[in-house]
Amino acid sequence: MITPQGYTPLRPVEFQILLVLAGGDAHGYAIIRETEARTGGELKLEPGTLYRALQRLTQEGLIRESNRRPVPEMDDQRRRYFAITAAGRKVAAAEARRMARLVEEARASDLLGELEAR
Amino acid sequence: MGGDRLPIPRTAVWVYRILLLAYPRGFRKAYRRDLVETFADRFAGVRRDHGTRALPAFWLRTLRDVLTNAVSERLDQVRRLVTARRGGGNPAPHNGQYTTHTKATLMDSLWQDVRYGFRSLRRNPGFSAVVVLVLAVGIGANTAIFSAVNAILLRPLPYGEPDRIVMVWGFNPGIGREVASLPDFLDWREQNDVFSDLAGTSVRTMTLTGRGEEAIRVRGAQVSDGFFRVMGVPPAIGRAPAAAEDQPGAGQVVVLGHSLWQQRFGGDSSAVGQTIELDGTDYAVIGIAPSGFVVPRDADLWMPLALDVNQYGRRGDFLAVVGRLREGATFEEAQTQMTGIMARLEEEYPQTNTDWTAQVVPLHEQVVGEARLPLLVFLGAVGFVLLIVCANVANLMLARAAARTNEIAIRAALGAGRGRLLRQVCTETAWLVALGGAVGIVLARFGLDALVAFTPADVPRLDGASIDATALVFAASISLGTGLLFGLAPAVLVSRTDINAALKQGARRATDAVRGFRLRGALVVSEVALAMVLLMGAGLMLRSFIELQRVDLGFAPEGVMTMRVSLPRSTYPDSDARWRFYDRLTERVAALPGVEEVALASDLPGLGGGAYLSFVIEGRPPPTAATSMVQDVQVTVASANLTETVRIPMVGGRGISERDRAGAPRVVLVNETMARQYWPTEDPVGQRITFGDPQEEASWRTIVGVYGDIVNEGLDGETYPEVSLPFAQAPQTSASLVIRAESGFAGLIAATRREVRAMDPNLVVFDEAALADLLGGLIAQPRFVLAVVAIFAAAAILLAAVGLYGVMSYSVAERSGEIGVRMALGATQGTVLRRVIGHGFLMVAIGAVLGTAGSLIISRLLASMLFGVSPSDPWTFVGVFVVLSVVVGVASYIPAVRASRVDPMVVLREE
Repeated sequence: MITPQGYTPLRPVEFQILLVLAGGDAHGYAIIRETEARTGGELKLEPGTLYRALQRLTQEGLIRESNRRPVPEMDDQRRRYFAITAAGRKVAAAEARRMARLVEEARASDLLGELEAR
Repeated sequence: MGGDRLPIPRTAVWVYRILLLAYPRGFRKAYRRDLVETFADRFAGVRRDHGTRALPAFWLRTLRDVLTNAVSERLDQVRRLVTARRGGGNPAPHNGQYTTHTKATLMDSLWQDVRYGFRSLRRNPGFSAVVVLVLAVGIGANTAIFSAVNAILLRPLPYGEPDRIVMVWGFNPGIGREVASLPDFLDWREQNDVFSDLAGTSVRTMTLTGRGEEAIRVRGAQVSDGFFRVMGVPPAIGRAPAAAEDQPGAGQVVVLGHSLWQQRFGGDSSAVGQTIELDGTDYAVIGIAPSGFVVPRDADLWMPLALDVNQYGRRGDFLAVVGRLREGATFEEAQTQMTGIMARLEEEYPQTNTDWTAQVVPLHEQVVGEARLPLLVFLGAVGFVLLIVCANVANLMLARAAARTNEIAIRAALGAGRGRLLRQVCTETAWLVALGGAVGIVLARFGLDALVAFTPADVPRLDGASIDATALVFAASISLGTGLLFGLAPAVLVSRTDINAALKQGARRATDAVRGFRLRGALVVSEVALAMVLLMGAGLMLRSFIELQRVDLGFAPEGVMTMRVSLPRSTYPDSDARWRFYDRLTERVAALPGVEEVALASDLPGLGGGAYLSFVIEGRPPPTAATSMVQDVQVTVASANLTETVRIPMVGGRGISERDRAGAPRVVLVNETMARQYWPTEDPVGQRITFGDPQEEASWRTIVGVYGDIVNEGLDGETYPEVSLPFAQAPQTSASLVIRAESGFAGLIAATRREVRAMDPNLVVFDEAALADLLGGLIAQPRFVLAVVAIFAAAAILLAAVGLYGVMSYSVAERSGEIGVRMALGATQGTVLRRVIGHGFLMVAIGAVLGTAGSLIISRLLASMLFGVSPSDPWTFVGVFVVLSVVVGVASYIPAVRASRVDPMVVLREE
């Protein structure tokens, strides 16, 4: 049995995808736009990178294909939607905790003092 | 989420689908539809939000995405496979898309193919070397040119948020773009709210003295407050001038350029706070610009503009204006607002501002400017060469595939599947492309170095060109494209090979060989067509270049040496002091051995650059807003014997003489164009004009002579009206010595320098050059473009000839049986020769017809680069056709002779 911590650290791309899906099911293009908006344009996903990450996450059981669809006239039926799994939520949470600890450590060593003073 | 679906970009999706072939099959099968959908959405989104201009960058990103991820995915597969084989467990539950077993066989057989491909290439080292080399030349040339294009056209400018920087020009329909006057600029700055900052700049050369070192000339940029904010580039050390320092009377501060700082202070940061002496005035160094920052116009240092607006008129245009668009403002808004401001100024100051409006130009467009067209021409030409390379390599591959039909048939008979055979051909192609690409990248490095070395100096930004990651991605993708192009034909041929027929009849008779032959004929036709287009381009440029060189300069620059001396206002405050210096200097230089004549000139003949001044003719109404006439003329200042020194003929009146001194009646010479334009029916000699206030008697000058027109607006421009004032009556602070000497320019420069030093050790002699060399610079760009296009055209015709030769030899060998029969039946060597050559010419004729159609379309794009020759110049067509025929004749003669020597007995016995 692998614990959620066994999956961390996640690649930034994977973490961002999990964050987007935690807010609701989405298709590929929506994930691209959402991560771009979330990171203020810093993370611009290209389709290849996105779907390879989605493949990895699916294989690791952190996300799955979703059966849910919006009402037909809202969108193209053929699009594939992705949803986060329970395991995915745990891993994302574990990753967030790991990052929070890192920030704590940085703060303790006074690295952020200068930054936060601004 | 997707309520805003955009139209599907069909062509783009089609291309993307092809790119997706790079991914391994499993991944492709699972995600192709999603990838394509996502791609289409993004493509449409980018086009909607950023316009088609953003698409090249988008494609590059897409290409990089596909290539890197396809490679990674394939590596991942191999890794998974290796882990599986070692019996190590996959840490994550695999979804079992495809079994380990099929993957193992797939990998094994792929590896086999790769090795087999390499072996078969090694078996034919000559063939492989030729193909790799031809490919390398094509890929290398394309990569080199692309790198230049990338550096100049595509790469963003090295400033902060460069997309928001613009230049603002005054614009008059009769004159074109013009720099701005100080009052206009200040009004622009006051009244706009589209720019976060707007700055006026003006560059002049100054003399840097002091610190016990040799005096040098530097380019000083006077910039108004906010210049560094506009560029988004703060000084690397110290600070930029403050607003308070940009006031009349203040402003004795300076920011040093990086290279001047290195040169004068050895890169010591304590330079900030010290003073330097420029044109005899002390300036405090307050900052150092970052390395590479040299705007505007190769500036060595920057100082506040600090000018008093009351001393400048609205048509005293000297400020180049740059602005930074406020957050969210667009070019269109800026243009609209500037037009509005200029309309108000026009109403308020009709005397000076009638017909003047403003133009907002993105800085990138401004910088790239004239380099764009030649570059795109290069890119097109080199692309054509690559296409010909593809056709040629495809030809070679086809010939080999046909020759190997037997081998392939045997392998098929032994159980190799059709897919497997196809894959073999593909791995061979992959090897060739990979090697060709690798060698091509090396060639590209040299090609780019050569390109940079031979480019005329005025091409912007080329020094930043290098074979970087983008260029490598480009090289990789064109290699891929090339492979697809030339690998396709043999693959098709292999997949259609009829095994039974091939085995039964032997390779040479297989019907597929005939089909291959037809395909090869088609390839040769397209090669000839492409080469023809390139030859036409080169031919037109050659004609245009010859015409340019034929232009009559109107004077004789040979044997004339020039150099420049400037006088600082601090030590030479008035006209008298300046004239005394220059007069004595010319006397001393005239006395040097070997010197025939010496003259002084504010601007060198043939190179333009004189100031434009508006003038009034005595007895005629002054140009007013009502007539909305622009009446101005290029003014140069020259000493008495300039016309003799450079051999400009006088066509009326007299030249400037020693009598035309400061106190004497004020006189002026006009050129022929000026005389014709303003006095078409009268004699201009004796007429009076003024550049000053017509009410003031002292401002009037009498025309005493008319001199012959000389080139003054570039070789391809019309001559503009021009006047020449006597130097003694208008002594300049800076002048060129124009010296006609028997020989020994180097000694002359040294001697002149000694004379200048002897008169004033603080002065600098600079811009030493032979006048003929300076004029040669006028044809540097056309010569360069011609040279590059000619090289490509030569490569194209050579490749086409090689292709033709290959096909002809092959067809002769193929048809030796038929030829033998014909000869046995009484055909002479002559008829065989004619038939074979005729066959070659048929292919060329078809190619030439297609090529002519192509060149008629494409030469129109060249029209603006041509001079004195029409884009459909019949003589160029004839010339190109002759060249083509000769090359074709040679290429088909050898195989034809071989055919005519066929011994019918030998052939018939073989049958």
